[in-house]
Amino acid sequence: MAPFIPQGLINPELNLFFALIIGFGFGYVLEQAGFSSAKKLAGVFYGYDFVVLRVFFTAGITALTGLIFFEYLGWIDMGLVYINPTYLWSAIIGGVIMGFGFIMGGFCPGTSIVAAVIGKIDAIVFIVGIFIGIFLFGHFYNAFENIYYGEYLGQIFIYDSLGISKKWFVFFLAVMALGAFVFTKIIEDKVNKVDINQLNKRVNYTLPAFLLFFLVSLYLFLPEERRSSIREKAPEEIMANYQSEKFYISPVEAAYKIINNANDFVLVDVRDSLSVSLFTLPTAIHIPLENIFNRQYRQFFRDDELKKVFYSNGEAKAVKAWALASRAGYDNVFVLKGGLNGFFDLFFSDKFELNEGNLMDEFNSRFISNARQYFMKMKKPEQPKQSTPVRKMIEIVVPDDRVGC
Amino acid sequence: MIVKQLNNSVLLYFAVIILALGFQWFTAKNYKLSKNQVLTEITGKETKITFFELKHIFSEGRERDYLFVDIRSIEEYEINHINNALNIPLENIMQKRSRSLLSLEKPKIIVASTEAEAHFAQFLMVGIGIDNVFVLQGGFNKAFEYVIKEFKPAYGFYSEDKAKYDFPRFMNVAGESTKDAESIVPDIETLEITIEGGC
Repeated sequence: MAPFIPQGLINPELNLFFALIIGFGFGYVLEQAGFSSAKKLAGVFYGYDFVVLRVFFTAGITALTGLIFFEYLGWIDMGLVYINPTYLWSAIIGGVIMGFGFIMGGFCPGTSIVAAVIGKIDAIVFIVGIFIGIFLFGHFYNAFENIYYGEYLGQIFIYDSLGISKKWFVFFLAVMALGAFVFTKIIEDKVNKVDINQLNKRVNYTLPAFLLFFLVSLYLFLPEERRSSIREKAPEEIMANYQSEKFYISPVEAAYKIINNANDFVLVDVRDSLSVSLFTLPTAIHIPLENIFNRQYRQFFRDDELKKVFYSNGEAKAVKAWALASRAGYDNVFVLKGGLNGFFDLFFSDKFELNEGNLMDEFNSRFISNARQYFMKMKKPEQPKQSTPVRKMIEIVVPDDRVGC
Repeated sequence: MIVKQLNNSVLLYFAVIILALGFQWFTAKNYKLSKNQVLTEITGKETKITFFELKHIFSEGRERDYLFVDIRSIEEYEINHINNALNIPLENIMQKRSRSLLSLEKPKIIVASTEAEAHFAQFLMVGIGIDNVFVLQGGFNKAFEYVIKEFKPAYGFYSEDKAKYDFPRFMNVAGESTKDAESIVPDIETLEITIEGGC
């Protein structure tokens, strides 16, 4: 189901509109959490107020549990969610600069905007500083460029780097957050010298903490059985469809649609690229079986008005493609009966048996001989569908001044 | 007051997740593997047994190492079948009894009347969590004729999913045939790599 915009459920042009609404919500939450006060923010460095740490850990845990369980339930497709790539040098240097700015100015970029909005003069000064920084960075960008893109690690995940499974990472992070909540409260109480009498009046957070612990422990032991999408069909349903044989398209129908250029009908060649480069039926598109769930084809398969007909040399690969597409919940998918072999058996090898007097057979036989004429006269299109293969030449250049030894 | 609301919203949030999990538990489909896992299982690995390999299995007496699963109907099975083959008609694959029969560690070879049907059965079995599933290429009838009765090496790699005709001879439509002079000369793209440092 989600994410809505990449799935095409929400117009991409409304992207910024939703960003604006979420931005308002974010600002409101920051303000309500007390983040417009530099004193509160800096408290985390001096030990008298850890609210920043707690709010961010809470946000992290909320997003974490939400994403893992929504993914498990098939409500969100994590393959479509944008993940920030890691550039190590920019992350380290940026982090250090931000830390210094934070401890000196008492704000981070987001909170400075929030504080400026409610009229804090120090925050306005801070924002001026941000813009000076942006200007300088932009001006001297060429000098920084190598560092900026340095040590590119791609979209990596912390649990892969640590070599533990995602489930255990979720568990440890949640336990760490819970530990941090308790631990920071103890430090706070020590630094602020709180009365014991006051401690008893506090709200009890045992239940939510327990629930969080319960959920992440449950996640550890959840079976792998999961659906990738709510549209997914059950095996029994696919089996019933298979046995009804309604998923077959006869070669005659396919040929009729090809000749008449029908626009409600698409042939999908699921063979490998080599076979396709040698021959494929006219008007067919090529989707290798391995790539059937690739993102770029989703839109095509979701078009329920379109008849999508898989074919391979025989039926085996096409039936696999059909079964997988059916399981993914794509409607209106079919298999060309007999595949290419069956198609050529019918149109080019005179195997069609004509029962004298059967009107339908006579129509079919006339159609077959006409179609054969049509196919034989077909000319190769001017532009081949597939581009010519590109051979890569790798030239190794050794700079004169860098030769070693 | 605010703190109480916070506590309540936490409870609400967890309640939604727990309820949804419970809902899924009861409505869950019978798959063990996700669709992408199934895709990599059935396309990523070599899961076909050719007639050649079948012949080897028979001649080396390794039939016991494999479990032959005959998914044709009972009538077809009774006419002819591979020795010690287990008959589970396709429509019964999803039943609990068949699943427990198929949960053996041995590699399983699916025997069907057509290759497509065997691949379909493989798709179902892999999806419900049965591993080590292979498909007998070519179907039972051809296997009986060319392997069990008398081995014909010409059919050693027979497959229904191989092209029977030289398609471009009949329909000169798509792709480049090998005669196409232009396609023989590929575009050459040069990639320069600068190496640094010595020793």
